[in-house]
Amino acid sequence: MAGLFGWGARKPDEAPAPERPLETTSTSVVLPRFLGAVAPRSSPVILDLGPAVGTNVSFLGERLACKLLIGDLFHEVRTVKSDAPEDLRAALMARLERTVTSPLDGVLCWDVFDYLNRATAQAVAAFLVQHLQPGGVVHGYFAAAAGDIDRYTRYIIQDPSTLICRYESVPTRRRGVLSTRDLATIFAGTTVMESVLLKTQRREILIRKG
Amino acid sequence: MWKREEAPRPPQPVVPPPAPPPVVQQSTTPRVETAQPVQPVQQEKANVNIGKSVIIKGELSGSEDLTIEGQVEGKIELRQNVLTIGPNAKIKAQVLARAVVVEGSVQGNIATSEKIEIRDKGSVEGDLSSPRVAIADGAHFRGSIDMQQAKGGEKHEAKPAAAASTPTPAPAPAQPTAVPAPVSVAR
Repeated sequence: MAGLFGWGARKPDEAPAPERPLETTSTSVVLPRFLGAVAPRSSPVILDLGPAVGTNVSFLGERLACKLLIGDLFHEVRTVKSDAPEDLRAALMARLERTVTSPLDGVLCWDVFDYLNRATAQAVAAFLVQHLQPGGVVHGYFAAAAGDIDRYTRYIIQDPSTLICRYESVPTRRRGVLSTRDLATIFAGTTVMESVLLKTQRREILIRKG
Repeated sequence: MWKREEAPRPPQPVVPPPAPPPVVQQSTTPRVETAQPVQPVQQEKANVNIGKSVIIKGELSGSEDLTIEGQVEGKIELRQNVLTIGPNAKIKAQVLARAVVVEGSVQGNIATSEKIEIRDKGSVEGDLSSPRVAIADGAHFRGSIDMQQAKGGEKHEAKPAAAASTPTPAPAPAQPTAVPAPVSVAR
């Protein structure tokens, strides 16, 4: 009866907010296609816009016998103190110019574009397309929902279709969303071969040039 | 009254006390190590250390394993040996060795015939060329990693069948250690 009329009803203790995991596993249907597109190429060159991850270096080196260029663009995102977007854009382009010394067969951009405004994302994408070989491919993860980001995702290849996502806390930033149409626009001259919306509110995309 | 007469016990043999350990008299004459042993026995590999306060500018080469804790600017060449860059070392040089272990800071390209290992406190900015590259969690690296040339472009799935039937070559006999070339040290 007390429950019916709310008399003396005790408010249930508020459930504590669930802790966000530090690591999750993600199945990928796009990564195998990326690897399949790069593998037949002779002495392929792959640009990784993320940080150096030992497991990924070993995996890509053994599987593809490739030359791997490590861009680590998030280092600039984290260290550029200026709030002016053009300063970050200049730093990113300078880093790309120093890193990319040969035509590219593949690009991995797993957690980069979410931190960039539209103009900077367009400049980076144009650079990548310019340096991609015909038939070269881009494998990227992009946010599918706008909001604030307070953690960086480090992707670790466990096997050709499984990635471990390891999260690191970062200062909160505003995140924009690039739809599949936006990506097709900023990556002008390429074709979106695959676009998968994941449960984690991220979009996994494979883009091909030519 | 009920005590039985016990048979006389045989005399216990006298156990002499344990002999003291032999005292080895150490020779006071200094031991002179010869560069060329009489018999070709396997000698322990020597490891040269360059301390924290040492600064070298120029070319550094040798035929021994080397550990650097100081600063080197220029070029380091140890084609047949292992180079260890200690946690306090700061290297701005091109490095050529059989294997390299990085625990400190390197700005420059590294090329090895066996392996490059960057440990968790290590930092490298430059290009790596080696059949095997290992980067620990927490290590910093920016540049390129080339594992193509040393592998001859072989990929994981395309291992040649002949490799399985190739007999293992007999190990080469041990060679006497050569006298290392002198290294100029600038302080």
